[in-house]
Amino acid sequence: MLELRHLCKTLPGTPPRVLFDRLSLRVDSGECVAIVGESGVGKSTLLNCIAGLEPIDGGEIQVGPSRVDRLDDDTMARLRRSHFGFVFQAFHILPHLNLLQNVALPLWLLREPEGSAAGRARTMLERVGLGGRAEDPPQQLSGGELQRVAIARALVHRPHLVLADEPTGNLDPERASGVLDLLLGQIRDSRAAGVLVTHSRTAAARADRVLELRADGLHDITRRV
Amino acid sequence: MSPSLRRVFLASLLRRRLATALSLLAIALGVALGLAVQLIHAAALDEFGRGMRLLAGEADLQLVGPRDGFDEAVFAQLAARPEVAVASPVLELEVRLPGRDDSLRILGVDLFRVLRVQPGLVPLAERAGDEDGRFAALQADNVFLTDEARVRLSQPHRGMDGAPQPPALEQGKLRVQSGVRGFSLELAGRVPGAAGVLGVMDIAGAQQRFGRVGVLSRVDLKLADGLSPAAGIATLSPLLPPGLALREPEAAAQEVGTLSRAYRVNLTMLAAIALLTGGFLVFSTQLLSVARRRREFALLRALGLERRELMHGLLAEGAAVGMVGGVFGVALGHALAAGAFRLVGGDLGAGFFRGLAPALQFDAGLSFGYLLLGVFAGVAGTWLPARAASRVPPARALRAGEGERAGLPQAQLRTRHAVAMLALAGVACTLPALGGIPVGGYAAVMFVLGGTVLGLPALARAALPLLRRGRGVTWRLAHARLSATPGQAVVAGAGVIASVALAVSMAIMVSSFRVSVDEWLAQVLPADLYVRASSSSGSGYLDPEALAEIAAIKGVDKVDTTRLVNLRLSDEEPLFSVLARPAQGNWGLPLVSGSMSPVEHVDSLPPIWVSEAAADRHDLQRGSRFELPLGGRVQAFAVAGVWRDYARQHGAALIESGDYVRLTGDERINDAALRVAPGTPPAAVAEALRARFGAEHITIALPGEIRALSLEIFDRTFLITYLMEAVAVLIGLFGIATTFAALATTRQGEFGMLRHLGFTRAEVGRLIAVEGALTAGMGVLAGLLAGGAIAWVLIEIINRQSFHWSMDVAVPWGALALFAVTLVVLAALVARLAGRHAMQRSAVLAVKADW
Repeated sequence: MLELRHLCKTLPGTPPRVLFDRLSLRVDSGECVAIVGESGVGKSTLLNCIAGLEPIDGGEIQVGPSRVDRLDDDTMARLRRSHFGFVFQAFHILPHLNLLQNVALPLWLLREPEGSAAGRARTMLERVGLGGRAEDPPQQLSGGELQRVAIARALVHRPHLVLADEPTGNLDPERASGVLDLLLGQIRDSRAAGVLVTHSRTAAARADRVLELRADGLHDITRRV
Repeated sequence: MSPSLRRVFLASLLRRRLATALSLLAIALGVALGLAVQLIHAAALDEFGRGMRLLAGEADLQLVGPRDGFDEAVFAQLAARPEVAVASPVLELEVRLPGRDDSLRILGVDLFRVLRVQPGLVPLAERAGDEDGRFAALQADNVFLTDEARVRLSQPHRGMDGAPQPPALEQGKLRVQSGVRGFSLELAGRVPGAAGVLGVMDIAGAQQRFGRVGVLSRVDLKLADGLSPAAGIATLSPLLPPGLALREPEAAAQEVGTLSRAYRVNLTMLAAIALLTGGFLVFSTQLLSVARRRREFALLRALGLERRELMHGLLAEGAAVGMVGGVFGVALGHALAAGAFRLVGGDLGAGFFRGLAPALQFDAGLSFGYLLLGVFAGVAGTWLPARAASRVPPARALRAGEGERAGLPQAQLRTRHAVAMLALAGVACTLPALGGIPVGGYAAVMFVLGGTVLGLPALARAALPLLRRGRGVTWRLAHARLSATPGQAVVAGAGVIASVALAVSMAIMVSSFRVSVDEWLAQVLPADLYVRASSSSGSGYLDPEALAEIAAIKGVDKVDTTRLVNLRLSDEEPLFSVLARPAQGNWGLPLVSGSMSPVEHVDSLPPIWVSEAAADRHDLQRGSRFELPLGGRVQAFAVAGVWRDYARQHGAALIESGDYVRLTGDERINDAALRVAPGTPPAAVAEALRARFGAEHITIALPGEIRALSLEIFDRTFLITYLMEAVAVLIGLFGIATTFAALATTRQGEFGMLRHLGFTRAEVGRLIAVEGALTAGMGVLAGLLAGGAIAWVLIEIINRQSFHWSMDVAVPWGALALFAVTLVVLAALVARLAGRHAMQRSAVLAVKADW
């Protein structure tokens, strides 16, 4: 579902810093891969390159049938809206929409009729345990609940690929564990491919595979965590 | 607060340069417009007053009466009184210059008396050495001109239609007109002590040559030593016949000040609304800036900054914006006034000071006052945001995740306050004018504006559900945002409301006024042709022989005549106009109440029809008794009706020609209205009239021409108000720009997230544009409602109380719709432009930051 081939990325500066050199990775549908590594090694940049939000200097990125590295800005935006789901560390829930509307946002973008969009968003909210609070404004929710809403939003349009950047970074350990179970369970249930970037080895251990990003590339450390 | 800490606040103004610059500009424009109006007017009044002082010379008192003059018998009576040291009689004539549409003011003076009372008017003969020169000033045909008059009159004049008109002074001869006959006066010398376009001649010569034997227009008095003017007035007034008054020379300048005061106050109020819009703009930018800096303030507070210090720091920001804006505004105001003097002289369009050429003078007190107004607008705009900022608990503001909420000005529904303000507006409308100024009306305007701004969130809540139909995601998001945060509409839309309300109310008022004036002109100009020798106080007039000749011209079916005289009803009031013309069997007056038939039972008094202004000022209605000083005595009339008169703001009345001639013996006529026999072209009659009297001695106008000219003057009068409206609307758009620039910056995280979810850049831009359009749409909607209400206040309260004019409401629907749509589209573009900076930021960086 997601395949990176010989990905190269150099950060500008004096001297320029090589972030990835011929980096390769494959993630299949229904599989969840966690990427760990030290701060500044390029974990988030890797996610952004996959999402087409940062240019690469070489190699290929394949998401389903599409070559992400060859798409222009607008085509990439349309690909993101149909095939990608995102979960951010800072939640990014729109304060002026209620929970149902926040979750339905990707469906609005895909021009799904209002009734069916609301129905699917409501089902998704039920799946993340917030079924009774669809009309609530986000201001009334705790951090853990907000991240559940973000997970629902990331999966409501059945994306092929879910990218999560430190999804538990703003949560306490107990809440983090619950949110992570939910995220990974939902990704697997929807047969999407998942890439999870995290600092936390505990969080990473829940994934199918754990890869460590170092200066010399990705290393499989699944058995060591 | 320490200076270095103050710098922390003031530096924030420099960080947001665009918003600061626009706030500065808005305040500067408001201050400049208000100051310019005051400066122009003060300079014009000053110039007028100087002219009056020069003419009055050393006189302690002036005896004044009808503009047409009064019987000279009173002069002998006054001159003989022991209280009077010297009395100097003056006959003031507005002399028509044949073939030209300007006139010359000639003062007929008594040479021996003028030396002691008005030395500035002493004529100097050019050939003083010979015998002729010594007595030149006493010869009936001699005239003395000021240098300015000599230059002006010896040059061709550009007429109102743009065509060149001949010089009046050629080879030492000045061509003038009395009645419908032209003759020449000899230029005998100069008037070195006087300025302006003015001529002086011997009073007996003037009376004789201009058919005014036995008539004076003024007597200047020097009182006996030790007698105060007030004591002089008290002693001498009882001796005067009705219609005459004694007053101090300065009173004339005050009278003009009173005449033009209502117009000046109106313009000042317009400028005040521009300044108010500037204050709203400061409010918008400060509120958003404060929202963005919540963490900064929380940190400062956590480090030990007192609540009071925080508030003072923010108010200092507002004061700095107001101060700099005020300084620019004062400079700009002087520049505007100087430009206006160059372009239109001292007249702001209403015609009170036409022909004056005043000089701009720096008035330190006035400038400082307007500078303070600028500072006040800055501080007042900052007050609420500063208070809100100082009340936020630091711990809450420092917490993560607060940032997203901080960007949204929280909606505070102040519907109750809004309703209370609107109710106060209603109460203010019932208040009477104070000293001729509709204070209640202006207060009502302010209350309507305040109530509408406070009521905007409620209006947005009520109106937004009606717009729910859109299915596009940008529409839904914009709609949801505005529904959730109607406070944002207030922040961005307050300036829009004020400016739209101003523009809309003025548009409705001007349109109603214009339509009413047009209809009124059609009603008062029913004849086919009008003939005039000159204006009421001018030297040209039509006498019975001239009228007989007009009536005898082939093709003339009927001749109706009008005699216009200006009377003095009291020494405090401006001149009152009386029109004498056949009322019965003549065309109908534009009556608003009463009827054309006389009131039968009121002591068989002659009928009079009074204008609305006269009815308002003297509390008259059909059946009332009204007295006029005519022919040297008080004559009572019975009011038969009230008519609409847009020509004479200070009151007019119409009486039957027969009554007028019977009471005064004055048979002269100013205007003749001709009806032409069926089948005769009016142009042919006009041609015959010119051939008979000489084209240069009479003015002939077709009703269409008078209407066109009147409407042109009308439009020119309102030109300056259009300028002010445009400035206010521009400032309102600034409000949209600064609000959206600031909001877009606080919402970078949101835009970054939307880009992750698959929004293209163009879609984010469209989202901002739709939000701008919706916000402005709410502001425009509220502005339209407030504008309609203010228009009603302008028409029914302010105009009635200021000018005593009623009008029929005519709403220019098409123009208003076009204006509203244009403004909404412009607001969308402005918001889109303002948000461009935020959209350009990398989506990746945007979602990283918490705010």
